[in-house]
Amino acid sequence: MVEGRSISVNLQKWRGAATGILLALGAAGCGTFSHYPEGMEATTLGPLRTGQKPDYEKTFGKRTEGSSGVLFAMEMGRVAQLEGDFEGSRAAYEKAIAKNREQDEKAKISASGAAAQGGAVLVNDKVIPYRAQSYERTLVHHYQALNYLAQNDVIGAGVEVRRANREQEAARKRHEKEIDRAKSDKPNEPAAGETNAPAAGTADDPRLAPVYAGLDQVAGAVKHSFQNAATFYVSAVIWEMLGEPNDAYIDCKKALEIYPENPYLQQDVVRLGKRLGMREDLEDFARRFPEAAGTPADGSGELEGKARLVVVYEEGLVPQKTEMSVAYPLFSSDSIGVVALPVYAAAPPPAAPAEVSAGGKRLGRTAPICNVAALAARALGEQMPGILTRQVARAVAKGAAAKAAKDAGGNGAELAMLLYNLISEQADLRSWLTLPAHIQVLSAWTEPGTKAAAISSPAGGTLWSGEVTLKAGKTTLIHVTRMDLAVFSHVMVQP
Amino acid sequence: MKTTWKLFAFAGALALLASGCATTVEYGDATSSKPISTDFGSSDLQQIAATMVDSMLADEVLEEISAGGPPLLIVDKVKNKTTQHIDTESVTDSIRTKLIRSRKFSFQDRTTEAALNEELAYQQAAAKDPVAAGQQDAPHYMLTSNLSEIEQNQGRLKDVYYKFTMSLRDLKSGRLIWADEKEIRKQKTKSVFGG
Repeated sequence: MVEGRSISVNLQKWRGAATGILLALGAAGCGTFSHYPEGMEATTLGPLRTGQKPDYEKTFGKRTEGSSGVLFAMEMGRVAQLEGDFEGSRAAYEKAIAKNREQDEKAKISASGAAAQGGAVLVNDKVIPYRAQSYERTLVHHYQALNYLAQNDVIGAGVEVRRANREQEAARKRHEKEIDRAKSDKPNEPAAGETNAPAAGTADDPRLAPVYAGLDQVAGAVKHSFQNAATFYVSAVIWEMLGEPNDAYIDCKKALEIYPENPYLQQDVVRLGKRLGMREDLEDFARRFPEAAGTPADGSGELEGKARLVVVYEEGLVPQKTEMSVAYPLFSSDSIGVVALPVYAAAPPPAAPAEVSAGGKRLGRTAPICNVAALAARALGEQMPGILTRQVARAVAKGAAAKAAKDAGGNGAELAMLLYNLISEQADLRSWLTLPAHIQVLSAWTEPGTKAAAISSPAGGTLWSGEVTLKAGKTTLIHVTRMDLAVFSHVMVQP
Repeated sequence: MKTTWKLFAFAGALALLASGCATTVEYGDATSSKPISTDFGSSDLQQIAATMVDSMLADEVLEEISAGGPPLLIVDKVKNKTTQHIDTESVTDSIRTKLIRSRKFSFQDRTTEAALNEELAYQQAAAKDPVAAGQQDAPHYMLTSNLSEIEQNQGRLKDVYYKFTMSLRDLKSGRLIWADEKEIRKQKTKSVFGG
C-alpha cells in the first residue's frame, strides 16, 4: 500500500513542489539584511561594540534608496556621527527626513503603497516600505541638531530643534485623537448575552498576553512612545545658545512633565524661571522640588561669570526585536492559525550614572532622562493591532492558496504551498538599531578656562577624558556614547 | 546594402536613446509666484524683500531722517525662526541691495567685519597713511528682521503661515521709528488617490 502511494506521485507534481521551495527561499531572502538584526550585527553593531570603524558607506550607501531607505539612512546618519563624519551624517539624516516627508505627503491611497501592502498579504510584513516610528523621527532631528552644532551652526541646530518639537507635538496630538476615538467607539452598555470583548491585538487581548508581557517588561514605567525628555532637554540647551530663554524654559517644562525626577531639569527650570520672572511657576517648583529651589538665575549670584558644561551621555544599544509565534483564531474560534509577531524579549541593563569632573573638581553625576528601549517597546505595542490584522489576513490568504493548490495540483503542490507558507511567515524585525538604550544628562556651572575633563563610572574606571574649553556665559556640550568596550565622543563649544 | 541599413537602424536607435535620456535645464523667472510646495521658496523671498523695502522707502519717516543727507544704516541678519534651513544671509543681501539702489541710505557692512579688522591691522603695520581702528563712522539706524512660521495640519490640508517682520530703530534714542510685516500663507491638500 505504502509503496503504491509513493510511486503515484508523478514528476509533474514534484516540479510544483520544487517551485514552491524556490518561491519560499525567495521570500525568506538571502541578502545580508533579510534578517535585519542579524545583518546589522554582522555589518555594523559588532564592529561598533569593539571600537572598529564599520564601513557605513558601503553597508548603507546604496540601500538608502530602497524600500527600507529611511531605516538605512537613519543607521548611516548615526554611525557617521559617532565616527565624527558630521557632513556625511548630516546628508544621511537629511535623506531620512526627506523620505519621511515624502511618505507623509503621499496620497492617502497610492498605487505603490497598495502594491506593497498586497505583496505583504502574500509574503510577509518585511516587504512593506519601512515607516519610521515617531520616536525615531524625533531622534533624527535630535541628532541632526547635534550635527549642526558640531559644525558651529547654532541657527541650523535651532531649525532642527523646531522640527523635533513639531514631531513630538504631532505624536502627542495623534495619541490624544486615538484616545478620543477609543472612547467614542466603546459601547456604553454591552448588549444582552454579549460580553465586552477586548479589541483584537490590543494590550487587553488575552491571546497576546505573552507578547505584551515582554513589551511591558522593557517599557517599565514609560507609558507612551513619544515621551522623550532628552530631545526637549537638548532643545532647551540649544535655545539658550540662541539667546531664547523663553523657548528654553518651555521645553524644560515639557521635559520636566515627562521626567520630573531629573535633578538637572529641576535646577534649569528654576534658573530659567527666575531669569524670566515666572513667579507662580516658581512657587509651584519650590513646593515640588525643594532641593532645586535655591538655584539662582543665570549670570547672578554664584553663577556670575561662570561657564556652563552640559554632558549628554548615551549608554548601550537599543534592544532588537525577536520573533514569537502565537496561536490565533483566524475566521472564528474553531480555526486556529499560527502568526509570527515581532516582540521585545529582554530589557537592556538599567542606566548606570557616570561621574563628571573638570579641572580636578567633581561636577556631579549624570542622571537618566530618556529610556530609548522603553520608547521602542511602547511604539511596537502601539503598532501591534495593525501588525496582527495583517498577519491574520495573511494566514487566511495562505490557507486559501494551499487549498487551491491542492485542488489544482494535488498533494505535491499543497505540500509546496504549505512549505512556502511556513518559510515565508516571518515577523518584521526592522527598527533603528544603532540608537542607545539610555540617554543621561548633566549640567554644571564652573569657572571658565581650558580644563581637563573626565567622565568615569562610579566604580572608578575612566570612560572618557579630554580637554574642554569653557567660556564665561557660554555652553560647552560633551556628547559621549558608550557601547560595551567602545566610547565615542565629541566636544562642542558655543561659538 | 544590408549592412548599410543595419548601420542606419543602429544610428537611429542611438539617437532616440540620446534624446530620450537628456535632462533639460531651463531658466526660470525668479519672481514667478507659482508655488510648488509649502516651503519658503525663492519667489517668496524676492516678494518679501521687495514689499518690505518698498514699504519702508514710501514711509514719510524716511523724509525726516534723510533731511541732512543719506543716514548711515546697519542691516542686521534676518532671524530665521522657521523649521526650514533658509539662507538668511541671502535674504539679508537682497534687502540691503535694494536699499543701496534706492540711494536713500549709506551703509556699513557688518558681515565683513573680520576682513575689515584684518585690513586695518595690516594698514597699521605696513601702510603709509593708515586708517586707524575707531575712526569709522557710527551708524545711526539699525534695520532688524524676523521670519517666523506657523504650521497647521487638519486632515488632508496643510496650512503654513509665514510672517516677516521688519523694524527700523534709531540707535541714538533707542526708539523704533518704523515697522511693518508681511504675511504669506500656503496651503496644500493631500490627494486621495495617487502613485
